[in-house]
Amino acid sequence: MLKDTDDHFTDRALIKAASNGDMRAFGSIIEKTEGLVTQIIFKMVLNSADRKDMLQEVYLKIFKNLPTFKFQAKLSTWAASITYHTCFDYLKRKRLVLLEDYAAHELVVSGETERGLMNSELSLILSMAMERLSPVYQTLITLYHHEELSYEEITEVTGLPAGTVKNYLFRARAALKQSVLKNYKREEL
Amino acid sequence: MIRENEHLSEAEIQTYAFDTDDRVKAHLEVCEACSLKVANYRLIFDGVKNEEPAAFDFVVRDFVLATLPARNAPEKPDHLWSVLVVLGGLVMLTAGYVLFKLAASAVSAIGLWLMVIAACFILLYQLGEPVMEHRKKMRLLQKI
Repeated sequence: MLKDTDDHFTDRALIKAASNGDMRAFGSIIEKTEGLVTQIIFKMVLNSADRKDMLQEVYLKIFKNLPTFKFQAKLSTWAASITYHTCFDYLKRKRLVLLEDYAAHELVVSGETERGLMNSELSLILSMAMERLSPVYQTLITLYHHEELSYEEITEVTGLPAGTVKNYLFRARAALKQSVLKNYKREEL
Repeated sequence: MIRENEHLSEAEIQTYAFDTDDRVKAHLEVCEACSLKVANYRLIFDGVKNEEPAAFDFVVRDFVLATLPARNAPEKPDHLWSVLVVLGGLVMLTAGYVLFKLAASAVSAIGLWLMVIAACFILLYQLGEPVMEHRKKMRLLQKI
C-alpha cells in the first residue's frame, strides 16, 4: 500500500510498486531521475522534437526494464545509462558526429601567453563554446562538472572504460577552454 | 618529477585544477603562466557547474505518464464479450434442443448423433476463436 508522501519510499519499494503497474510509483521514479535524464538528452540531441521523442523512448525503456533492475547501480545512474545509450543509438541512426578529434587543435601550443578570463564575460561565451563540442564531449563535461558524477559513475553510465572516460574528458576540457579563449579574444577585438 | 624550469603540460594543468594533484604545486607557486592556465580552467568549469540546468517546457512526469497507460494499465474484464458468449450459447442450446426434437422424428438414430457431434464441433470452434484471437493480441502487445 502506498503512503501519501512518495519521499518516504526507498528506490527498492518504488521499483517494486512500479513493476506491479503502480503508475504513481513510476511517477516518483520519473521525478527522481528526470534531472539527469534531461541533461543527457539536451546535450546529445539538438532537435527539440527529437528530444521529446527521446524522453518518451527512454522512459518507456525504463518502465519495461524495471523488473530486471537488480540494484547493481544507483537508480539514477541506471536511468542515465539507458538515456545515454538511447541517445547514442539515435546519433548513430542519424549519422551525426559522435566525437571529433579536438586533440589536433589542442596540441598546437601557441607561443602566446594565455590571457586571464573575466567572470562577467564568460557566461555568454561559455554556452556557445559548449554547443560547438561534439555531443559525447558535451555530455561527459556535463556529467562530471555539472552533475558532479565520479569517473566510476560516468563509466557506468557510458559503458566506456575508465581510461577512455578520463581521456575524452581531458580532450573535451581542453577543447572547451580553447574555444572559450578564441571567442573571448574575438569579443575583445 | 615536475620540472621547475619547464611549463606544465595541459594534462598536468587539468589534473591540478580538477583532481588537486599537489605534485605540481611548487611549480605553480613560481610560474605565473601555468597558474593562469589553472585559473582559467577553474573559472570555465565553475561556469559549467553553475549553468542553469536544461529543462523541458512541460512537466516531464505528466507527459511520460500520459504516454504509458494505454500499454500498461491493468486490463478491465470485457463484460460485453461475456454476455454475448453466454447469450450465444443459450440460443444455440435452445436451437439445438428444438432441432433435436424435430430431427428425432424424421431421421435415424445414427444420423441424429452425427448431427449432434457436428453441431458440437461448430460450437466449440465458434467459442474457441475469440479466445485464440485474444491470446494472439496479448502476445503482440507484449512484443511492442
